[in-house]
Amino acid sequence: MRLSAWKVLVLAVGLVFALTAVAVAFDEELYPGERELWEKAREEGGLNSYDTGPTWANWQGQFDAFTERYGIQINYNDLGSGATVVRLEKESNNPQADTAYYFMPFGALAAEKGLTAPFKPVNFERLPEMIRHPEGKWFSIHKGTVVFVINKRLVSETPTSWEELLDKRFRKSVVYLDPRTTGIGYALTIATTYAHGGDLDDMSPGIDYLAELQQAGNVRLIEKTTPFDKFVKGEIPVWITYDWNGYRAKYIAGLGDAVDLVIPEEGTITAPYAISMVEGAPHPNTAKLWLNFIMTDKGQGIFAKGFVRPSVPGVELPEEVAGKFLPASDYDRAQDVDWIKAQSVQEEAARMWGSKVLGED
Amino acid sequence: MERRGLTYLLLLPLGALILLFLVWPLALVLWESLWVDGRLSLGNYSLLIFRNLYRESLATSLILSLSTAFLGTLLGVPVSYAIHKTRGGVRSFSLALTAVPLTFSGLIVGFSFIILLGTSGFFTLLMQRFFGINPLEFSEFLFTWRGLVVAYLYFLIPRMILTMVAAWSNADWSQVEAASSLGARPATVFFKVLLPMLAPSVLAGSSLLFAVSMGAFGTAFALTGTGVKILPLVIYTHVSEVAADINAADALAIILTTVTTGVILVYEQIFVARQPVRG
Repeated sequence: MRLSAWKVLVLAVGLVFALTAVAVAFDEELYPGERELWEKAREEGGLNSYDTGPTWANWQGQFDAFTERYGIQINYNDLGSGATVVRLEKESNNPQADTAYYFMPFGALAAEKGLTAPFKPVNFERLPEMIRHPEGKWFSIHKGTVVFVINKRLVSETPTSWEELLDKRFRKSVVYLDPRTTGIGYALTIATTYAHGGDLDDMSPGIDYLAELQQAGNVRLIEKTTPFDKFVKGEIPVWITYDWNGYRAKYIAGLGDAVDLVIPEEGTITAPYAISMVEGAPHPNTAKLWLNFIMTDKGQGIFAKGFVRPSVPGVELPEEVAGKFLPASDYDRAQDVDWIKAQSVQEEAARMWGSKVLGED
Repeated sequence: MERRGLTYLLLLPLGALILLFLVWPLALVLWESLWVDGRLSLGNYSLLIFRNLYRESLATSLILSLSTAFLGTLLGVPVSYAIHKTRGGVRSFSLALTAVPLTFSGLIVGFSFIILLGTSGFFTLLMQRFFGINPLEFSEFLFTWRGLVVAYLYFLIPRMILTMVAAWSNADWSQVEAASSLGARPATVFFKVLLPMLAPSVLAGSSLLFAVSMGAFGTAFALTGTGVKILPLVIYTHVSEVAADINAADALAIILTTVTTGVILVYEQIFVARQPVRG
């Protein structure tokens, strides 16, 4: 076979790329078979990761560490959990995503619709059974607790309870996310429910509370995606969100004492987040490499560095963050929930929220 | 005959483009909106009458678009006249400046309004400093449909200006001069000569503003949450929530398209057809 000039050029360029890739190689394997998987992944040339927005849950830290270790770029988007499932469904004839990340009940929903593929990553067996699909069609990677994050430049006195948020001095102050399209929105609807004596069989106490908050005129905005930048910019007085957003604003974005985190007195919930390999993923080996990486103790530690609590039990928190979390006695007020059941009542909850809070019918 | 054939040949790429990226997708959306549970039905459209949410969002969208079209015309026409009267460097500079807002994406416009008028926005802090106004109360309007009117005007007024600057230049000023020299009072000149001459352009401009603000999404997305019910945002929510209702969203999209193109078509029927070709 005769090689034309441009073919030689292509080969040469390819060789240079291959050598560069080798240059970022690692010395020690994180788990048996890592190197072999990496070899296969490199031929696939990329990874599409749905809903892993970089400012959310320290995904940026994971991207950086992954690309540094393997020399593989990650394409991501930031849709919201509900939108992710809808998108996977729309694309099911021609899947674009390799992995999809969501609030756990949405993962269960995606698995039920046959949109995810079974894969058991490193550390899978260490996860509590409640937060992993038996075949690995989804598994939890980290969790977050629903808290108030307060901007003290806009709020003189920090509220300590759900009840207090109804007070007149919080007029046009509270911001939260839409329960119909986002995991956090649904999680906080469950949190208000548990705080008001309801449960998954009867979510009306929590939704009635949110309706009361709305009627009191205290809701400033119901957002569609995480308004982290808006919070840091000083647009949000009281933000009902996950704890890591608060820690991130306080310690990483540098707002320091201007930010207060509160676990409300009546209680709240802790929500697991899950990830899946997508059925028919275009880059399956890269997907496995990525899922393994975030589930290793190293990957779980990267979450922890962003104040996102890992799902794998026994992962040691890095020293620089361990002392900065709210006291364990505060976290005792956060309950765990039957998340599989939460998925089954979600549609009804979303409908009820729309009709009671926004008056949609 | 041969030349005409060549013209049609040259139009082919455009035709293909329109077919592929406008007609085909629209047809799909229309089909999905009409096909309910395996049969043709107007169910999705009847929801528009029966569901509060849809009625409200259509109404809010219409009010928003009418307000922006009206205010944009009111503010844009005088400015366009001023620019028309300038010459040379000043003219090109002001025209260039007018075009700048058109180059920004809606998201950027939305965020820039947050920086100016948001809770810790520049003007908000000035108002607090000098007039003791509560920033939370002051900036609250920005996240309602009234705030959207203000934000939309930012990219709508330039559209009005550009449309009108051309109209002023093409206007037949000799008629105005003739009327004046024949002794007509300024008011008469304005109402009898100038207004009829310019009315089609003003209406063309304002119907364009109406259509643009009916469909604008990025700015509304960046500024307001799901609390503000306007058609583009309701469509967005419908295609992204768990209990996604794609067919209803399709129906809403068809309504939105019909309203916006309808306004422009009606305008063209009434005015453009009657317009003498000027030359």
